[in-house]
Amino acid sequence: MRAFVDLALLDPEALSDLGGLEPVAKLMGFSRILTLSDVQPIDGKALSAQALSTEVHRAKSAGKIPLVLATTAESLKHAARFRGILVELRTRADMQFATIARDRGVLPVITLEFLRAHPKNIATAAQNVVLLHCARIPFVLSTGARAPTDLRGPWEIAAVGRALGLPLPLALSAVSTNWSVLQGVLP
Amino acid sequence: MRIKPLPPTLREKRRYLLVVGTDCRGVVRAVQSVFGKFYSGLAHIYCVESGLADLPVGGDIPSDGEQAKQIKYCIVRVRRDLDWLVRAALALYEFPVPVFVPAESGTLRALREKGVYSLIVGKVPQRLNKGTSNQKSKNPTEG
Repeated sequence: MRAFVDLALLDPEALSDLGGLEPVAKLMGFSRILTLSDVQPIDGKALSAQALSTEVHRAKSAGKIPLVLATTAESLKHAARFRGILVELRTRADMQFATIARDRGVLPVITLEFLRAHPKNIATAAQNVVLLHCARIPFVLSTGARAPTDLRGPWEIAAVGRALGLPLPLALSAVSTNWSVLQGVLP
Repeated sequence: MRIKPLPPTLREKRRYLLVVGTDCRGVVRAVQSVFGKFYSGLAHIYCVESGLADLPVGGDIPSDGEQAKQIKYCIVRVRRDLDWLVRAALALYEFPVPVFVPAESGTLRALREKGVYSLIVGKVPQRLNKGTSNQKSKNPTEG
C-alpha cells in the first residue's frame, strides 16, 4: 500500500469548511498533506545568494522545510546548493542544476499550480521531467494548492505525470516514495 | 478452486470512474478544455449516472441528525487505456470545488463492493444494487 503525500501552500485552517486537514487527506487518499505549517516558501528571484542562504537557515531553525520558488535559472543554481530542501521548478532546468542537485540531495517539485498558470508551462515541465529522469534525480509532483478548490487526488496528480511523459509506476513514485529524500515526511 | 484471471486482451476495454465534485458535463468540459475535442472523443466518455450526494463529515457517512453538505458526483465510463487522460484533465482544469476520483474506481463491481461508493454517496441506489437483491430473493425465509 502506497503512502501518498501532497504539498499544499495554504493555511490548514482554510480547510475547516471541508472538515479539517486530516479528514480531507483521508477522503482524497493521502496519508499526509504538507501545508504552510510544515513548509516555508521562499521567493528565490528576489534574493541574492547570501540572502537566500539566510532565509533557508532561518526556515530550518524554525523546524520547517524550505521551499525555494525558482523562477529564473540563476535562482535555480543558488537553490541547488542547499541540502535537504524543496525547489519548485518554475523555469527550465539545465544539466548544471541536475549535477549539483544530485550531489546535494535537493528535491525538485513540479506543481499543478505552475502547469495551470500558462499553456507553455506544460512543455517546460515535460522538458524538466526528461532531464531529471535522465539524470536519475528523484522529483515530486504535487498540487501546490493555494486554495482548497485546487486540491486533487493522488491518482490525478500521477496522471499528470503520465501526461508529461513518465510511465505510471514512476509517476506514482513521484507522489509517494520520492518524498523519502526528505527525512520525516513519509510515515 | 482458484479461478484464473483473464488475460489483459480479454478484459473489459472500459473503466468506470466515480468522479466526486462535478457532473458528467463538467468532466467532458474539462477534457475538451485541456486536451481538445479530438482526444475527448478518443477517450469515449459516457455518462452512466450523476446526482447529488452527502459529503462525508470527518470521513464518515453523516447520521440522520447531522447536517450534511450536498456534493455533485457522477460515474463516467471511459476507454481503459485513456483513463489517465481523463484524470489528468480533471487535475489541470480549474473547478470551483475539489474534484477527485477514489482509487478504487475501476469497474462497476468494484464501485458496488469495495464500499467506496457507499462512503462517498451515502446510499447505494437500487439500480446498481441488483446483485444483492437477487441474493436476498434466493433465501426462502425472506420470501
